[in-house]
This record gives sequence, C-alpha cells and structure tokens, in this order.
Amino acid sequence: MRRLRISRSFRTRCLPVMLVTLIFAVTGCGEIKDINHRALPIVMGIAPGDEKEFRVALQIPLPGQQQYTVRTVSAEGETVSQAIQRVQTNVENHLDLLHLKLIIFHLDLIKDGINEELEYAIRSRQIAPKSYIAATESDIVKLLNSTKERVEQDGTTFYNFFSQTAGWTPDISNTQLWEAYRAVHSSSQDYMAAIVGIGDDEMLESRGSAVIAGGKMVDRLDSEEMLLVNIFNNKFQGAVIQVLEKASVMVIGAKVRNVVSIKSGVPKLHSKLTLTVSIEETKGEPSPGEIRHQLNEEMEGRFMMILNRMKKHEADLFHIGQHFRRILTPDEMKKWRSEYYPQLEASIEVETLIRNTGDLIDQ
Amino acid sequence: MTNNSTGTPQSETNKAIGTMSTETVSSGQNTQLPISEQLSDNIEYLEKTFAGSSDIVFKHWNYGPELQYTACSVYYESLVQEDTENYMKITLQDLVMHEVGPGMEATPQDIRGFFEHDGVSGKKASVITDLLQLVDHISNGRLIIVFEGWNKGLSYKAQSVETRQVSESVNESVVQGPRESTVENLQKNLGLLRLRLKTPKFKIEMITAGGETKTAVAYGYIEDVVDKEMLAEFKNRIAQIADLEVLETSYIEQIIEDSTYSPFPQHRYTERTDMAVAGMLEGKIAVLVQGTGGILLCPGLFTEFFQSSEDYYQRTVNSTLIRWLRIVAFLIALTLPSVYIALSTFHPELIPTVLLLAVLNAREGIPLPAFFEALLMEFFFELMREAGVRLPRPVGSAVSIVGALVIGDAAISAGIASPIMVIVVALTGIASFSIPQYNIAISLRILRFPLMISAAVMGGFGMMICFLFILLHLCKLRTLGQPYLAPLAPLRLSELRDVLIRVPLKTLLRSPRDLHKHKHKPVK
Repeated sequence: MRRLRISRSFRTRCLPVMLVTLIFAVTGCGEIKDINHRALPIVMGIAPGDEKEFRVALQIPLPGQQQYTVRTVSAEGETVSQAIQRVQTNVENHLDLLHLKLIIFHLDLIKDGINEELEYAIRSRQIAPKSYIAATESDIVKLLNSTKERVEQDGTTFYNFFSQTAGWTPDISNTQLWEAYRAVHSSSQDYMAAIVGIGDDEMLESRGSAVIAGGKMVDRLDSEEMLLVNIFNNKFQGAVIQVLEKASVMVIGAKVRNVVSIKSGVPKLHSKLTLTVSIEETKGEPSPGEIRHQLNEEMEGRFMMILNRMKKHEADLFHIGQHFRRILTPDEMKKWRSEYYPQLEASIEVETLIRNTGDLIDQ
Repeated sequence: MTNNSTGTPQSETNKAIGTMSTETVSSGQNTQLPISEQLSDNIEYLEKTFAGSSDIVFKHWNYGPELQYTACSVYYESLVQEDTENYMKITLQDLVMHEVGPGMEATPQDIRGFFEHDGVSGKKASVITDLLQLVDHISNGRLIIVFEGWNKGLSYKAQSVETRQVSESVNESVVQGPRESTVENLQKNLGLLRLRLKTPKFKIEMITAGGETKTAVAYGYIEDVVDKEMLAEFKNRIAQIADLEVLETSYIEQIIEDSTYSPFPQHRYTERTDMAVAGMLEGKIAVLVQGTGGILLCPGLFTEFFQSSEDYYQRTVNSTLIRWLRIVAFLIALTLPSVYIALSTFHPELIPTVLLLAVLNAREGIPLPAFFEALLMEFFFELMREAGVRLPRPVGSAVSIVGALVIGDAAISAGIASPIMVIVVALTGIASFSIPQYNIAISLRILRFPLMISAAVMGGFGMMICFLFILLHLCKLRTLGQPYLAPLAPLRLSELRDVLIRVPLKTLLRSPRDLHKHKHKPVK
C-alpha cells in the first residue's frame, strides 16, 4: 500500500506560505478603527455623581478641516467604566483613552479614597501609566468647559502645565499615574496630587497639593511646602527659595544623603541635604554666610515641621521607609506606616553652597 | 518480449539525441569539416551557409603570373571596414616583401609556405583549417580569404562597427572622482580595466556564450586576492552560458545567482571602471559582456550596496556620515509607509499629542482607511516613476509636472489623500533615490508592500513578523557560497571597517589583501 505523502517541495514552499496567510485570517483586523474615527480624549475628570456613584467628564478634541474643536462630554455611572461606556454611546467616534494625558479627581472623591479608580485606570490597559494625576475642588465639567478655548489653541495645554519640559515648576506636584498606583501596593511610598482650580486670568490656578496616603487625602500642602518636598525628592528644576526677607536664591543642585538605623525598635534617620544655590536677588547687604545660615535653618525647620505632620497622618511623602528596606523584613515593612513611621526619630542637616553670588554681594 | 522490443529502439534514440546534442554544443570547435583545396567547393558551401543575407560579400581575385590563380575574400559588408580590398594586397605584399621578391609571381605554394610557417605579415592574420571555423570568423566580423589550391584560409581582423565613445557615467554620477564609464565594446572595456590594474596578476578569462549570438564574455579577477573556492564555484556556474544566448551582463547575473526569487540582488552591477577595479581588489570577480557596458561584480554582499565609489574619494568623516544617511534612507524607504499605517491605526498613543491632533485634522474627511490611502498613493508614485523611466526625455518632464500635481496638491484638495500621506510617500521616494545601487532600491520597492500589509493587519507586531521573515531570508541567503549578510552575520569585526563607518583610507588600504582567503568560507 502506498502512503499518501506530501511532496517535499509542497512542504518547504507552499506550506509556510499557507501558514503565514492564515495569520492574517486570525488577526481580526476588521475591528481596527482608523485614527480619524477615534475620539481621543486628552483630559478625564472623575467626580462623585449627582444620581449615581461617579460622574466622568472627558475633554475630546474633535478634528475639523482646518482647526479642531474641543468638546466636553460627561456621563454618570455606578462605576467609572460604566460612566465611560455611557459617554461612548453619546460620542459618534470610537472612544479611545490611549491618549489621555491627565486625570483629574474631585477632592470629595479623594477624601473617600481613589484606590479602586487607580486600579481601574491601570487595568483598563488603555490609559498610559505616564499620564498625570491632579485634584480639583471645582466642578469638573465646569473646569473642563472653562479651559476649552485654551485647549483649542493648543491641545497640549494641560499636559504642559505638568510637564517638566514645559510650564511645570517645583511648587506643583506632578505625580504620574504609575506613581499613584505604586502607592496603592507599597508600604513606604505615598504621593501628592496637585490641586487645580479654574483660574481668573490663567487657564488653571494652582492651589497647593493634596497628600494622599492609603488612597485617601489626609493633608494639604501649600506651594512653599510642596517645593521643599520636591527638592528633597530631587525635583528642584528652577526652584527659587526666599531666605527670610534678605535674599532669594535659585536651587541649582540638591543632594540628599540618608543614614538610617533601628535601635530597640525605634527607626532613626539622619539626613544630610546639600544645596547648591545661586543668589538671584538681595535686599540690603546680607553676607554670604548670613544667607547660608538663614537658608540652612529655614530648610531644617520646614523639613521637621512637614515630617512631623506627615508622621501624624502616617503618610510617607519623603519615601523614608525605602531606606529601611535593607534592615526590616518584608513582613515588618508591611507595618512600616502604622508601627515604625510614627516613632521615627529624624534629624536633618542642611549644607548650602553658594556657587554664584554675582555682583550682588561684595566678598 | 514487448519490453525488449521497445527497449532497444528507445535506447538507440537516446543515444542519437545524445550525440546530436554534443554535436550542436561543440559545433564551433571540434567537429571537423576541412577546407577543400577546390576553391569552388568552399565558396559553394559558404554561399549556401550565408544564403539570404544581403550584406555578405564574395569578392573574387586573380593573382600571380598572368593572373592565373584565383582567390576569394568573404566578409560581412556591415561589419568590416571599407578598405577591404587592401587585405588581398597586404597578403601579397607580405609575400613580396619577404619571399618572392618584386613582381606578380606569387603562387599558392608561396602563400601556403609563407603563412604556414608564420611569416611576418603586415596585418595580423590567422590560418584556419576548418570550414565551420571559417563561418564563425565571418560571423564575428573578420575578413576571410581562401585560395584555390590551398586547403586553408586566412582570417584578418577587420571589424569596424561604430561604437560609443567612452563618456561620463549616466547612472552612477559622482561629484569627485573619475567620470569615465564603460562602453559597449568589450576590448575597450577590458583595456580601461587594464589601464587601472597594471599587474600580471589581473587575469582575464574569455568564454563564448552559446546559441546564435556567440557573445564573448570575459571575467577578470586578481589572482592572489580572489577566493579560490569561490572562483571555482563561479567557473562552474558560468559554464552554463555555453549554450545560452547572452545579450547583457544582467543575463549572467540571473544565470549564476543563488536565489532566483529573492527580492535582493546578489551581484553588484556597475558601469564605472574605478568601481570594478576596487571590487576586484577586494576579491570580486568582474564579468563583462561584449556589446554592453555593464560590469557585474560577483558576489555582491548586502553591505556593499550601500557603498558608492565616491565614499573613498571623500574624507572619512564625510563619507561615514553619508553612509549613515544612506542607512537611514534605506530604513525610511523600507518602512515609512508601514510605520505610518501602524501608528495611525494601531498605536496612536505613540504619536506626540500635538502631532496627533495635526494628523487627526489632516485625515479628517479622507474616505479611505490609512492602509488603502497609502497603497493608492504608493501606486500612483510607482506608476509615475515607471512612466518617467520609459518615456523619451522631452516628454519626461511633462510626467513630472503632471505627477507632482496628481500626487501633491490635487490629491489633497480632492480629498483623496491627506497631506501627511503625501509627505510620507514623497519622503519614501526621495529616500529610495538616495541609495547608490539602483537594484537594491527596487528590492525595497517590492518589500515595502508586504510590510504595509502586515502593518495594516497587525500593526507594529505584524511589522515585526515581516521583518523577521526578511531577516531570516537575508541570513539564509548565499551568494556564490558566501553568506549574504557578511560581515554582519556571521559577525567579523575586523571587516566592519567599511560597513557602518568608513575607516580612514590609510587604515583601509593597509589591510592585507590576502586576508580574504581566510574569510568568507563557503558554507555548505
């Protein structure tokens, strides 16, 4: 009996071609939507709804022949995804969150906790983890509507507000989604969200930052305090500090060294912050030594004040717990916020180097 | 019984076919059809062979005492010089000068004795004994003289067909460096090469392609540099042309290439003599064909298609930068349309927001999906390019004007294509023009389309798959037994001096040439 055999040339030539052709059949490329059939919102606002749990508002640029127009669409739902689904039904194009740059949470929502919303944002696999998060006290629909005109002129306005390559300054917190999501599961890293409101002349107005620990807002920092936290976390780009009433200095370098230890269950931290500054402006004739001394004292004072407040709220804004990971076991680290952090004995030493005095001070 | 009875005739037929085919193959050289002593027999044979050609000339001569001896010269009027009469005179003069003394006393015996014993003659003459060879010589544009009473013929080189003068290279122009390019005359071309390679190590071997054309094909190489095994393989393959008609160098390329269906060219093609010489110095074999100006450099490796002769005439930094520019151009020409399709249909998150909004506006109102838009515009572009190549030059400019309007402004205002797409197609076109070797640019044109399809079906992932296939193919491809991607894969660091960067000429020229023997071992 002769066996039916597939010829060699068929196996080596036709079969691979057939198999590759089959790949195209299983891709489901029919579901792919062209770029101009997608609505790509740039800003999403999430707030508690009037009738249902959530109100989600999306600011969507809609393409036109010459200039795009910006539309704010909002809907309510029991969950965020349901609300987004409702928005989808009202929008003629396919709603795609891939290009979302900013998520604004209403403060009322943050006070109740936003961990579930963050989990949703990551799990949806549509929202980029590098999009920024912010908070607001204003009505989100109003906020998005009021900024419409500015966004129509430049679609990246919101993004620029938080972008380090554009209009961001160190007294605004620019937390990204992944950092917030990290805090949901981390025992030693908490974060802040910038609080923005409708500006009078400007598009947005910065109103400090919300400190979020365990998914809930626990405190509020003003922009001066925010600046210190950012400098301590190595985000000092263009930071200008006022030294009493005598001078203002620009931070051009900040280096933190932390020495940690645990003695009889009490965590101890000694930080040394080395600031390199250049003098921008003086009043009267302060000596460099005077400015240095004043700056050191002031920074030390502010740091201790903020740290003590944070200890009370069990919010580890400075990520101090990270330094104890090499001493504490993973199980002990889980109790970091509740057991170790409130007992933390911290001391800080600030050293200032004045790199450039200009002609403002006679040496 | 039946088997037996049918078997014998079959084997006989096979034998017959076998002998017949050997006869046809070797008819030019081996088969004997001796020239007769009777002039009339010879002329009769030749007249029969050349019957029907109006440009064949039989010119009868009488010579000797009282003009009693006859001779006949045969030649193609269309191939030889006008002063053909001189050859009979030259023949006799040669005799007069050296043997017979003044006067008209030459006899066939004198002629016979003189030429059979290699007497010094004014023009180079060769003695032919065979009628078939005689026919060959006439076909090759030589002048033949046959004498009554001598069973041999004289053949003079008298070919004179107008050929193009050596001129500037049209297809491979450079800013710096020699402008000369090859012409359609094989001997002239070989001479141009010899002029640049003044060494006895530069060998030129000649073979004649078969069929009706009897084209002379020459291949040259430098003895110490060329890889011996590669040369053997090359000789083995080029032997195939013995019974094939060859009209152009690219015939040889197609006959000896390893992979017929590969989109990638496996041999380099040039019309610049400096490039051919540089190639041979690197161990390539140069193939030239009578009647065409193209020189084939075998084998052509992938990285060599990015090299231009000007790379070596400019300073290192310049040529390295230009090399990089070409690599980028290669990538753009290969991928830009598919990247655009993938980004706009699958990965809009990768487009910066400002650009995205611009793309959104640009694509608004375009009826076709990105893929079909790209396909349409690429099709327009290829159409225009093909039309431009084939058209006579005065009409060519009309195509470019109409094309610029169709692909450019009109397509946008009519709402068929978006401005971004026009930029993409135009950039792709410009990038493909900046690759020095025309034939690899064609392979890019082919590969662009499967890439576009995969990008339209599976986005970046699909492009990745397509790239993997291309890469697999490239890795598998051999040319004359050498890996096509060498020296990138297999990686030979010492040879990378002329791939991504062009090292200073001082270093490049100092590298030992016989290094080549140890590299590129043919893979079995």
